[in-house]
Amino acid sequence: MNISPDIRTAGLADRLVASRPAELAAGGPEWLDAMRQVAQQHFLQSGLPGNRDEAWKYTSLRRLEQLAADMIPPGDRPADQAEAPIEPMWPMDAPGFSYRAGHWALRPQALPAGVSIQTLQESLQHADKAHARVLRDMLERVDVRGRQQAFAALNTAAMDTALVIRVAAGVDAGTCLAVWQSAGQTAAQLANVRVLLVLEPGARLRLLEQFQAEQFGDSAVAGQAMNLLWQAELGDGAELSHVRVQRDGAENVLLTFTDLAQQAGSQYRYAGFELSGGLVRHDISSRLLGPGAHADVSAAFVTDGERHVDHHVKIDHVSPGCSSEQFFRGVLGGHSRGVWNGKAIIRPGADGSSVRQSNANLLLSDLAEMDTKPELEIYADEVEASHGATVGQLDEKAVFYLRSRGLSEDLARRMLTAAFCHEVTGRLEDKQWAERIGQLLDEALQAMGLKAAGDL
Amino acid sequence: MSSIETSKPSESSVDHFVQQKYRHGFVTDIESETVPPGLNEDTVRWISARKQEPEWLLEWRLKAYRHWLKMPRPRWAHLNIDPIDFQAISYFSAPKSDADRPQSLDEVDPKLLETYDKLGVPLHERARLAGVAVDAVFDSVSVGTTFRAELKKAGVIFCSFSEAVKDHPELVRQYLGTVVPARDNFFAALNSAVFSDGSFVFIPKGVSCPMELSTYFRINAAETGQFERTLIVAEESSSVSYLEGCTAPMRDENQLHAAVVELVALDDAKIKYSTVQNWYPGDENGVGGIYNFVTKRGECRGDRSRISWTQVETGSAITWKYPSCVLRGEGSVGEFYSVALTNNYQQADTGTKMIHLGRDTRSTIISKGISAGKGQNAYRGLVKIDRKAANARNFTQCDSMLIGKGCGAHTFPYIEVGNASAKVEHEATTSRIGEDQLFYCLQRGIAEEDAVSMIVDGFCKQVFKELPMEFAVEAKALLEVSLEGAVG
Amino acid sequence: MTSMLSIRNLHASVGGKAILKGINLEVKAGEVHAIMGPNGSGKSTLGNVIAGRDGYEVTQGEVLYQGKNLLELSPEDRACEGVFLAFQYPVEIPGVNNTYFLRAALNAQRKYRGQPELDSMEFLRLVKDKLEILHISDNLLHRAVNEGFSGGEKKRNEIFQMAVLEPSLAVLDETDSGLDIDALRLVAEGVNRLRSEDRSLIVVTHYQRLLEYIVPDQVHVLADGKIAASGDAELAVQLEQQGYTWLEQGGIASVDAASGQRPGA
Repeated sequence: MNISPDIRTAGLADRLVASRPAELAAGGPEWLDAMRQVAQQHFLQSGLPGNRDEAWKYTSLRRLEQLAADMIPPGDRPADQAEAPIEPMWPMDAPGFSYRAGHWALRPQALPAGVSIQTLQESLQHADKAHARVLRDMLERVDVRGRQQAFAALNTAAMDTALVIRVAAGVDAGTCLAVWQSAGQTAAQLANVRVLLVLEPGARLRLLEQFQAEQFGDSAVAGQAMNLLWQAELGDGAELSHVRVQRDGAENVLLTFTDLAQQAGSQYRYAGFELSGGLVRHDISSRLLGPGAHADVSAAFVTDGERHVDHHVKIDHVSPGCSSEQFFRGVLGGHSRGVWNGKAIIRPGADGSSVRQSNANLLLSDLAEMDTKPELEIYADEVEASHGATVGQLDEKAVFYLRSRGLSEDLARRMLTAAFCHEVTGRLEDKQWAERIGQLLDEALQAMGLKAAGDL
Repeated sequence: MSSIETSKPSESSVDHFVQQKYRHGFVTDIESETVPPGLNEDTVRWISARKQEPEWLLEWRLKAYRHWLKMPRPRWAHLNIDPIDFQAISYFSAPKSDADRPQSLDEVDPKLLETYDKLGVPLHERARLAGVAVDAVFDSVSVGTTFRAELKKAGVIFCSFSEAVKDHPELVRQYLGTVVPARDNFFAALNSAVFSDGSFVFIPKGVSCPMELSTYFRINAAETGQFERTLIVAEESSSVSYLEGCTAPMRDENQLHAAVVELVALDDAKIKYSTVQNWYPGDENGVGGIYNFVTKRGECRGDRSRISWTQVETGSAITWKYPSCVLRGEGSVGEFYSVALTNNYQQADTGTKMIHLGRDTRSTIISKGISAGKGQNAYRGLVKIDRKAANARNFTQCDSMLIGKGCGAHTFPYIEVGNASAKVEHEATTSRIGEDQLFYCLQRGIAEEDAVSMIVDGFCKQVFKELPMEFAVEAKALLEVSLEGAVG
Repeated sequence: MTSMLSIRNLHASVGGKAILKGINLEVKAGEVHAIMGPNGSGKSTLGNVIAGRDGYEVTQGEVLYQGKNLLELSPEDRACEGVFLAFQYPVEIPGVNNTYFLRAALNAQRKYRGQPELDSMEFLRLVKDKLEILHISDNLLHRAVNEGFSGGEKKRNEIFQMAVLEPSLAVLDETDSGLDIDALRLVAEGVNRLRSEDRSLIVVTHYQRLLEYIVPDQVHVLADGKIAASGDAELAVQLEQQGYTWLEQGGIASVDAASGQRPGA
């Protein structure tokens, strides 16, 4: 459709482009520069998505617009503080990297043999032909056309930081940490970060992402924005376990796009915990390209105030015998808004596919809103698919049961709400992680003051 | 339309479809008056003049027409629709005898009566026996309403829309377009501009309509569209059950049917609206068939009112319809029970919208989709709980069954909840027809085709039991016919 | 006595995996045969092959039923010819009324045999009689086929269907599994009532328990897709005492001669 972007968002698009360095970082291969030029043109032409665009119907970009009003370009970032790696809020003795305000650093722990973390530029320079080809294919695969792809286009055009994580065939990389710290500075910035993750056949990786904010809760600090695009390539039989704990600043905008291609027998397990952030949106999309691939995507979110938490999941079953599961739990208070859109597509010929989707939400405040949409598109007939979505309150019978055993109503509600979220931590394989994340979830629930539930 | 392509045909025990027989595919050879194809303001004026309508209605039509010109055709549905040439359609066709309209059924062209006999619609004496009042709409006009006198005694008005405009203009003017505004959507706007006839029902305060009301729609003339409009108003504490059936001849070109149905229920009123839609679905190669683009909406305007939609959709090449309920009155109830079957190259994008505005409103959605052959079947629904709709409840169950390799089943439920005391539950399943169930039936000696229809019938039970008795039997038979040859 | 079922050198595989590896079995009219054997020995496969289930591929051998080649018939024609399989796990068919289902089945079979179909009154009378004989409550009739039935109810429903359809050959596939002792007795009594001179039964079971109530004429032990031993009811008792491991050690072979195995006789 040829609809020109409305003036408001078009202006915003201009400002977002202006906030990055005037010239695209030189020195990359020509094809990459060309690709970025094209992406920039697409971005400026189509502008930002709005509520007329199906995938953005429920996502208001107002918060980003407010930040964009006085954004400074990434080039103006203070270069200090950035050379040393940043400690995560949940300390852990594991290698990996940290990122803050346009600068990244490797953690001191040594990476296991067969595992590397480099910039895209380094990677392209030093990589063998096959790996370079893989990287180029991955970059070229990103769709930058149209309004709904505006952030992918912007990310490609700007790409202020681009990293490549590679795990060689058959290597078990153990745990790798990614620490994302939003800077506590007085001017807003937008970061466009790309990470390419290549798990060669049989490789394994446990990736733990922590999002944290400097001077958490300090109102003198300007909101920050990040447009993060993960691309992962899972070779035959590769296994990626991906855990994300997000406690970003409550004024911040965090847009994440995780895009996977999964080969035969590969496994992707994601568990996200969205505990803060202003406008948080995570689009997770995986294509199950090889037979027997499996994707298990789950998340719990807790939101209140004026915050917005959004998940868009799309699992595309291309090959036969693949399975996928989506499992999401949300607790909403204040004036917050939650969105979940889970989609599974089963292509012709993808027989023997199985799909399960589950999304349940607790609304704790009359002003909160939850929009949920579990979608199935099925073009094969040997299929088992089911989905369920609920929006409601705690089971009053359960509340009564606990009270009849002597618990106060407040405590009963708190316990049941926590238990509701812990359905997601319970899916984690590592029970120690589950316990620690459970504590973080409980803190977030306490912070939002569950008392409101009793007033319903 | 999404970019997904359907697969090439392949053989298996249950996906080999042979030609099904469309029972209602005959053409009635009667003289009719048909306006030449094309649409402009003059067409709208001509229809209005032909029907001797008051000025306000012409103005209403023209406003709708002018707005329609500016509207883009909706593209969001999961449908593959060939472009429609709106200038190639004739917007009015009536049996000639309508010029001096029959005063009673005895004066109706015997060919017409014969047509309805073939359809199994009891227009005449049989109506008396069946105890169902029938309004029959043939192409663009209503050809006869039975039982009018009996209904009149009860205070019920049941007549063609044209008659209602003449005899009860104040009622029509009060309610027309208040549930589905003329600008609501592309097809509703088109209908508002060119609607030709339809049924009008008014149930006064406290009256329980003494019999089932029924309208049969039939498209007969070639290259015509059918644009009927139905308006049902149930005053305080009244109730009515209304049935609607549709058929059309077999023709190679696609024919457009763009109807609008508006229901209004005041305090404590109940409206039950049942549809068995069996428009010509096209042949086994996807040639011909009706484009069924219908806007149906009911408003529970009064407290404790109830509107219930039940539909069995087996016909049409393309179905685009979402019978909806606006639950405005406190404690009002909306229900949607649907069976949609797509076989051969049929496509359906159907479902409902439940808009909860009032406190303590409740809604139930039961949708059963069956895809066979290369049929594409999508459920699309919206459950919206407004901020003010305290204690609203919704339960949705949406199941799809796949029979055959080339078909598709899709589910697009939108759930928007803005009130913390609301409870919304949505469940859906999609699976192939149970091989175990099939084998169990076979082992007991039941032939495969019978086994399939038995299992499908069981799958649809929750919906069939909502239909009035006579319709339930017809619906079941229809499903069997539509599934004929679904196994080979 | 005339031959009811004659299985010769039957080989069958499921999903390319050979399960039956040369079965020979002769069942005469009026006889009750028990098929025993450890899990995975092919007991249920045999029942499914006889009934003609999809996915069970016969790779060798033949099955003659009343002199006819059973393998070339469709599953529903086998049923109409009088072959009945009481399923180990009867499937639930939501929304399909049990009575309606059974009448459709009976009338399909009657039509096949050139008999007049029963109207609903006649059918109901028949059904009431059978319920009485089997001591089954009629609430079974009003529910959907097997939907929400307990394990015992499902098994009783199978026997009830068998009583109504009056097959010539019935294969009872682990009809005893999941039943407590009272339910087991009820089911067995029902089966015994259906024993007659022109009806043969093949009782597939893991345990000897059921055979205390339904006393077989012959017992066959299936191991690794073959009949490893045959004997009279005593064989079942022996198996119960000594278990199937004994069989794997070749212990049973010595019994064969004593109990007079008559392969293909």
